[in-house]
Amino acid sequence: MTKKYNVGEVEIPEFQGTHLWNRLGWAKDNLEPIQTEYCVVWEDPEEPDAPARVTHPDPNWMACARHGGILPPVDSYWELNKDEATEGFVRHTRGPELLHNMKPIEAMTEEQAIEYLVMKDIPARVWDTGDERLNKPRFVICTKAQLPQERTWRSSWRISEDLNINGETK
Amino acid sequence: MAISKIKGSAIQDATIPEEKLEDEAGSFRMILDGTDGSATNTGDFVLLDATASSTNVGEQFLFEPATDDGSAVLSGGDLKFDNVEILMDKKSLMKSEGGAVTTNIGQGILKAWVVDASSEAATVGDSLNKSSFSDDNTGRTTITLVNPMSTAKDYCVSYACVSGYPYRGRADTASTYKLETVNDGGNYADGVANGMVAGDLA
Repeated sequence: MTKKYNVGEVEIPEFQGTHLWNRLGWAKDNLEPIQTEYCVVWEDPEEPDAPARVTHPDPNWMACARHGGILPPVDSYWELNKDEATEGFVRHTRGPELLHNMKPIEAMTEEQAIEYLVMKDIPARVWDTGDERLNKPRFVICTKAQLPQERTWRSSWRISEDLNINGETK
Repeated sequence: MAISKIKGSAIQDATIPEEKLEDEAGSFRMILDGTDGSATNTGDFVLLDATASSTNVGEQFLFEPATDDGSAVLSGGDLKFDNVEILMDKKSLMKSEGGAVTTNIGQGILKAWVVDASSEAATVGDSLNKSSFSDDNTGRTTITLVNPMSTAKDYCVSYACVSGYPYRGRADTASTYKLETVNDGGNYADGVANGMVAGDLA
């Protein structure tokens, strides 16, 4: 089995111009996965009756984020999303430009990686509201231990309106 | 130019005048002719070109029997690689199991997979090309890819369960696919999911 490396133990090859998928294969072979205790709980305003969703970062992806030099900038994903939302979209043609040839981003802290993941994997309508008057947040970053341990009422999970944010109870 | 001459089982140093190693165009060229003058090549250890000089002209690397189409052919043995990076483009082909047709390697391999994804435990066993999984509701999971697929819906998602029953695995967008699990009553239920994705990458 190939030795796997922790953050700071290995130099990441120059990956700009290498297919992103190939980079992920390299990372899986060489980087020790990083399990995080953090997850993101969010509600989609387009589905007001749906329960809160819980997004968990992938340990292999987190290793890529923490080491740096592998993942494309998050705006590349936004551009792809725009292309996909265009009427008449058939298939992505800007993968090489936006993903494979784009300069990879530098190493991130765990907190920065979670913020990147929010902006990549959660719809912008959830985190980019631009409206401070919302009576409760649409997403919350918390630890797995803070999730309800009982899933019997999973379809009723909501973000609490009494959530304590920055030490202040709204 | 000094090279090594292989004679029998021993390796000896030998010197060959450089002009003897150049072809008419002046570029370096070395031909190992492994024939032993007998009717067969029995006993040859190295055999790169056993044919007359008028055939196979233009081959860069040739194992007999071969053609002069620029390919390299190894016949009758295994070719083993140890810690060698092999770079193949998207046109690379391999023989299918039956040998009658070829398989495009780039098209044929899985582009993403996930094993033991459990909303209940909030963990995933292992994965490739996945940035996150979302527990959407009981028995409903969304997997998000790092390298999206090229189309929004036209790719293949295959799904199996370790516990529960697979209801469906389906492409949602180019970068997300959904795995849904039911119980024996046909209602959504939490399970442990294994999913695979095939198709074209963006």
